[in-house]
Amino acid sequence: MKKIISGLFLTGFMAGAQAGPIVTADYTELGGNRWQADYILSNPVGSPFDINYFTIDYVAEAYTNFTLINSVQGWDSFVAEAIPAFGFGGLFDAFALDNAAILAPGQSTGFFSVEFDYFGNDNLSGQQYSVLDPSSFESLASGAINQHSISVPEPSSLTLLVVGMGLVCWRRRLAQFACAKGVRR
Amino acid sequence: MKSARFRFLVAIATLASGGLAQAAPLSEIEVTQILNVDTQQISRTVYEISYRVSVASSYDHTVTGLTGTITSVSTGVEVLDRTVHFDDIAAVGSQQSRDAILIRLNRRTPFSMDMLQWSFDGELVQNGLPPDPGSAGRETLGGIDSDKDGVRDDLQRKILEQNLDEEKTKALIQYAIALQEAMRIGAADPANELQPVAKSIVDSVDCLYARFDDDAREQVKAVERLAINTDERYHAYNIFNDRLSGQFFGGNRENQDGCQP
Repeated sequence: MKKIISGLFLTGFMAGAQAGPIVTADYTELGGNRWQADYILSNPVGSPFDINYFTIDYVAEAYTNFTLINSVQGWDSFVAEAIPAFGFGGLFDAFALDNAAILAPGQSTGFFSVEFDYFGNDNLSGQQYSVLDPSSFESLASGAINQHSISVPEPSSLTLLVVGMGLVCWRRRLAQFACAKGVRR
Repeated sequence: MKSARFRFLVAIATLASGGLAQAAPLSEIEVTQILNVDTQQISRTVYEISYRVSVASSYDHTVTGLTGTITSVSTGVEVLDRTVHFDDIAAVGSQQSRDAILIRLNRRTPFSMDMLQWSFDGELVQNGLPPDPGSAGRETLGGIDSDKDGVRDDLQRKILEQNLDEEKTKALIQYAIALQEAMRIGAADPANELQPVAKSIVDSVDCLYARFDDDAREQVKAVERLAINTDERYHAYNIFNDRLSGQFFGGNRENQDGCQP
């Protein structure tokens, strides 16, 4: 699998600002417009709060057909389709079910994995995370997703084998045809 | 030129129609736009959304008294305030609701707008006719003039429903307005308006005679019955007549000089 490292885009919390949460994503193209995103939520050392509730909002026009592939132990997660009429984009929502899952400063989660269809024209932008107060639902922090990597699958070995054999056969048929023409002459 | 004693006999008309016009289901009304008013997050997954709607009417008639009612066919959407109201919609027109509906939806439950079904009720109004005021049109001396054209809606409807030509219709409207004015000053007693209103009544009666030929007298009586149709109006009109008692007013029923343009 070929990996294109896109670099780390610092958004939401610029260098020098108070340390805040970061959501990093690895994206894998599954074919067609289908993608899988693997998110890691990090609560850096020095963060002013624990994290037990966060969401990712997706621009309605670019993302659809969400499927939750994996949640992290101790977290309850779900995905929801956009409702443009009400101003809702697509949604990934994760909530820590117990104290052990709450993300203290200096901790990171495992992978939250989501599949979706993407119809945008750029590198999967239009996603924004929010860390929320579970009581008031007010945003404690928010920002764009840090794209860690975008993976585009290479042709499989079997595909390469079939294509190669096809080329060989085609060359052979050309040679036979030329030989037959020579005999008739 | 003829001289005629200004004299009006009036009678209270007992009109058959009594109640307000009945709203009926309307199928040719379609929601065209949703206008979000407010969104509140109630819990992690539950939101309350308040929104107005714009609708389009395919009817060739004005729609009046339109209400829209929303029903949810999903367990994930609860309707908390289900009815919106609209101002009148012109033929093949559109309108935004005056108020908003309120729904509560759970984002954990799959949602589509098809889960909210609309039904509409209202009254179709014949083009050019104001809405039927029903009994409300008889509650005050001045009645209801929703289109503000100077003639009461109940009178205007009765006159227009005859489908007469424009000249005759104008003559009837002119007389109806003159009678309304007579009742108004009969009740309010502004002495300085007595003579002008009396003149306008003479003119409008002359106009009716000029334009209706043989049945002018019946038309005059018919408009009076329709216009002076409550005790209050009858009383006001009698006062107006009493103040003019003994006076003579000239008129001319041979030409259309009394007709307003």
